Amino acid sequence: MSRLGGQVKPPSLVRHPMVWFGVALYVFPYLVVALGKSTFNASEFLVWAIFATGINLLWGHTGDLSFGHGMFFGWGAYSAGLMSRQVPFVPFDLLFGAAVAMAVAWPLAKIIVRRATGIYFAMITLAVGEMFFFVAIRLTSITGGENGLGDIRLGTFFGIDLSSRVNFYYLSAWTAFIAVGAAWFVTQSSFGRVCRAIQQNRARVPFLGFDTVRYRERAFIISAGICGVAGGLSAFLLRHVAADTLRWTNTGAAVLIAMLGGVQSFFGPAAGAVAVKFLETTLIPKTKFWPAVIGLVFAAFVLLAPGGLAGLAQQVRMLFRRKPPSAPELGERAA
Amino acid sequence: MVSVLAATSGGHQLFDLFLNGVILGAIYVLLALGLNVILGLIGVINFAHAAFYMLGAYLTYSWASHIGFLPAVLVAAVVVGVVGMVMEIGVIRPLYKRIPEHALLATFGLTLVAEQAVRWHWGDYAVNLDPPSFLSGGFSPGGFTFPAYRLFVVAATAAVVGLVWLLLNRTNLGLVIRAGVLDAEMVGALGINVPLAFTLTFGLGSLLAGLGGAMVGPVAGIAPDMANSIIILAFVVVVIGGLGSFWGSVVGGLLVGVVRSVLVYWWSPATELVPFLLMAGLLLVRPRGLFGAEGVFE
Repeated sequence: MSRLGGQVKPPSLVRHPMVWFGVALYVFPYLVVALGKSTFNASEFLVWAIFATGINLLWGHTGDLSFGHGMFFGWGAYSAGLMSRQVPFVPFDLLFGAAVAMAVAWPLAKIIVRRATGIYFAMITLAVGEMFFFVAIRLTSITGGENGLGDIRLGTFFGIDLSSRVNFYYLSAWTAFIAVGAAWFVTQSSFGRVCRAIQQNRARVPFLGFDTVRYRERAFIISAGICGVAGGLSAFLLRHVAADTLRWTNTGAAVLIAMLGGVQSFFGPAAGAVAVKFLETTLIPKTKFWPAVIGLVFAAFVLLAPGGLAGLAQQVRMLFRRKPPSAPELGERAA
Repeated sequence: MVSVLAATSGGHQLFDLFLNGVILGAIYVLLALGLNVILGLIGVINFAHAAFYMLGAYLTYSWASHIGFLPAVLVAAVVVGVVGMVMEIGVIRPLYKRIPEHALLATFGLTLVAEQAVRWHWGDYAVNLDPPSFLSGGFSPGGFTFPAYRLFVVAATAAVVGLVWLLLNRTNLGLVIRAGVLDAEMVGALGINVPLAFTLTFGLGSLLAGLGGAMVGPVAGIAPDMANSIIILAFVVVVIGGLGSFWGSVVGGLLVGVVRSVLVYWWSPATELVPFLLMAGLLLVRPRGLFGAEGVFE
């Protein structure tokens, strides 16, 4: 498990967390299938892993909780889906989706980030996201309105048939590797360090000469791009985009997934996505009241384990350790 | 304004829309006021607020045929207030020491539970609640129709807003709550039970949501997704009015209700979009909303 702050020397290539992440992506579908789910589910879990990582890039790093990132997921999904009709080449369409999401996020960041923080920020992003939802269901000629966007063309990837579930998983895995890798790169850069500092003490960072608003704006835009990739991938996975994906219920679920995984750790949200979506796919055939179970799990985690799965793992590790924890680790747990 | 509207060709229709907007606005006022009282005084944003509103509506629906409409409205509102207090003690109180976002997320989780609970007990489909017989008529002076039930909603809302204002500003409880917001530790040191005051405040806010829901049934119908669609509007009203501002919620609620309803006359998608456009436009000019004070929640 990597910690986002205070890493002194870069990890060697073999121990590099992204290498482990790649290995995990390779093993993941076998595990999912062994536990009774399908390869389709494995791709679905990855979509949510990217989404939660994207949201956490903003929330876990700058402390801005957006309740409207579903709109970037939706923008990515619609743009990638529409572009696939012109250019049926998935990597290009995904990039296009991310670019559109970032292009939409840019003016919004300029308007919102400077003016709002905290719960005000959450409420305003939520309202803006909901506004795009209503726009999407009205623009029936483009988005398909309430029926959603269909006719999404997968095409082939240099002769590989992507309509096969297994091949599509490899596409999802590469997308997740690149998108999450980009997020990792951002968090490890000096930019990411400043964002962390903003999260920990927003008032002091300006005294170091950093313009906090600019950093928060950029984090907002980058996280929008990653959510856009997740949206694009979901469009290709489901071959359909529902307007509901833009709604606050979707964003709220993703935010809680990130929290359940652990916002203080980089891979926590991705792990949370897998855990929650796994639980969800298990519950859906059993009871139609499954959202109630998920809701209870969410509320229980917020109340009892705000550090999420990653926080719990950390506590377990502490139990099995002889030497006392170092000061920075203690500080980290307190935060 | 009424005479101006009457002079135009669609005057009557416009007037109906305007009156509808005032009713909608009254419901928004109750909802936003409850949300804003909790937010302004305790600093917690309660996502489950609209779930309380929905609960109020369904309880009234269930009880109106047994104990009569008006008693059902009152009992439903009080029961919702009690449910709110229980939730405050069980879920919100442990989160006071954390960042406010955690209370937002915990209550969001609970809304998922609430919606399923309603679907489980009352079913997936919308239900109808008729206004009581003594409020089912209407007056029509000069050709304009005033349905009695709608006038009742407006009058009741105005009375409740007045009472809440008096409670918060002219009673000892209000004093304790407002002092507790400024410095809970110091107020506690004076021998006052601050957690109890917070619980009562939370109950009051929930009661307002329950009351709004209890009265909305005959106007807008009752369905398990009514919470999801209205919570955003309540947030928008609070943001437009200004976080923590009492009169902001009142003015914002009426403004959103009326504008939303009247603009349908010219452009029907306005119903959904206008509250957001209003909010966005206002935030560009006044980032803290109409009556928001500087430094609140920043």
